[in-house]
Amino acid sequence: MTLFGQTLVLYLVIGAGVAGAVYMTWGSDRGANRWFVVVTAVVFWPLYLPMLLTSGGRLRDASPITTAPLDELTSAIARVDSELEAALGCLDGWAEDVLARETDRIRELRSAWLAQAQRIREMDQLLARPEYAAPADEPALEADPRLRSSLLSRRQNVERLGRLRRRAHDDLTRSLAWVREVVSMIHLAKFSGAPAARAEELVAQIAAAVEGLSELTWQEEPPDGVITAGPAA
Amino acid sequence: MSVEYARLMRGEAPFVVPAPDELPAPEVTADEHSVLGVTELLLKDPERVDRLAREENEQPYLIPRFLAVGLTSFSLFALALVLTLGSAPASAVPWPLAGTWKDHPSEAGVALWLAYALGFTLTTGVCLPSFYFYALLAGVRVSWLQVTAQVMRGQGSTAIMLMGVLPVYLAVALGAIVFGAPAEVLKVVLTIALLLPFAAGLWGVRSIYIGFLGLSDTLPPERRCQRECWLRRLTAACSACYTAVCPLMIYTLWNYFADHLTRAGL
Repeated sequence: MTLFGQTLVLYLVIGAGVAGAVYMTWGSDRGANRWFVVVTAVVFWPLYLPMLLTSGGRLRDASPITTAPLDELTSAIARVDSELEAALGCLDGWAEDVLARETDRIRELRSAWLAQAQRIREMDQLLARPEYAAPADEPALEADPRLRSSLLSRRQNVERLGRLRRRAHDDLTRSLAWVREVVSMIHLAKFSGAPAARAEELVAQIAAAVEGLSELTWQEEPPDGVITAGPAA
Repeated sequence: MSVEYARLMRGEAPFVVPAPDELPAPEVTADEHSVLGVTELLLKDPERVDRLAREENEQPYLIPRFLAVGLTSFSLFALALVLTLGSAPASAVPWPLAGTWKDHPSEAGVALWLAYALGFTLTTGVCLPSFYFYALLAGVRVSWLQVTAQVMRGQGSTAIMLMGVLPVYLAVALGAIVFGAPAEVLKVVLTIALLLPFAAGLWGVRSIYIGFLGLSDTLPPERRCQRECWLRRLTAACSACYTAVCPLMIYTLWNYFADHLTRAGL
């Protein structure tokens, strides 16, 4: 056997080892992907080795914030989320029980922020369409009363949509500001030697913010168009 | 607008309204959790792919997807290349392939496919440590996994570019064959086919270069300017190294597979 052949055998033996490790690490719920990864790991094991070494044998799901479109809303959510993560991280050994209890609700809060941001984006796209962007250009002097009434009604609906968008934006902003405020309270409570009960209360307040956001989904617009108070109120 | 509105109310078809320039660009809704979704993102929203490639939790899943995109693209390219070479006269087959192709076209075709399909990815494996150590040398805070994701993202871009260029090349090459271009011209056209992935690879190298420069935001602000210049040079050097190793790897693999397949008698 030539030197090249011996090297190839050695290469494939290492590849088989890496493929086995990848098989055990990848998780059984990924079907065909798993087999593709295992087969390619035999030949292309240098690509999979960093994965095994870095993840420490555990593959985690991607953050939904990363997969959201990059704009001001996503940036604001990402900033507050990282502050929240840092604050919750410093609860170790102080209020772990409540943290364990509220983890799911805090994850829900993140999803609710992203859903709200997506809703705002969709409304923005709709309002930017030419037929909604400039309703003032439409005929105001139509002789037909039915036409006039239909036009008026359409304008009102577009205006209501605009108000709804502003309200959704304000609610999201208020929710983010509220969480930032509570995060600062957590830091303050920790360093001022507050009891664990205080931390529990604050974490519970953060978790409760998700209800404030999800309530808005089917909330009727108030008749006077006044913006309602957010979760902080 | 008023005429159009009245037409609409009367149940008549509205006139077509030209879309204004200020309409927001439609959001790319591709699913990055599938190979097709990643392909679509590489085409339509490369910035999002860059962001995903920097997400630590996403990197392990992105690497196999980039790999699948690369393998599919290089395999399709090799298939097109083999068919083109097969339809050209034997005298026009370029130098590195001429001898084996004349006597054993099937073995040479399979060897060509294996060399192109495996060569690019194996080159990535060879060059990975260099990219990692160069990045560390420049002071960038980066993991080996992240470097792998960035380099594989470059390979994905190469694959997409190759698929974009291939139809144009095929039209030219088949035109030259069908209309009976002189053997010298055909030889040049077929030699270009062998070099096509390397030309497309420049696009991938550009992606790698941009990806690594994007990592400069992990540098301390007071040293960023000086280090960024250093990082730029190191990345350029490493990209050049990758560009040099790749043809060598493909040529070695082609020789190895052609030799063994011929001896085994495919």
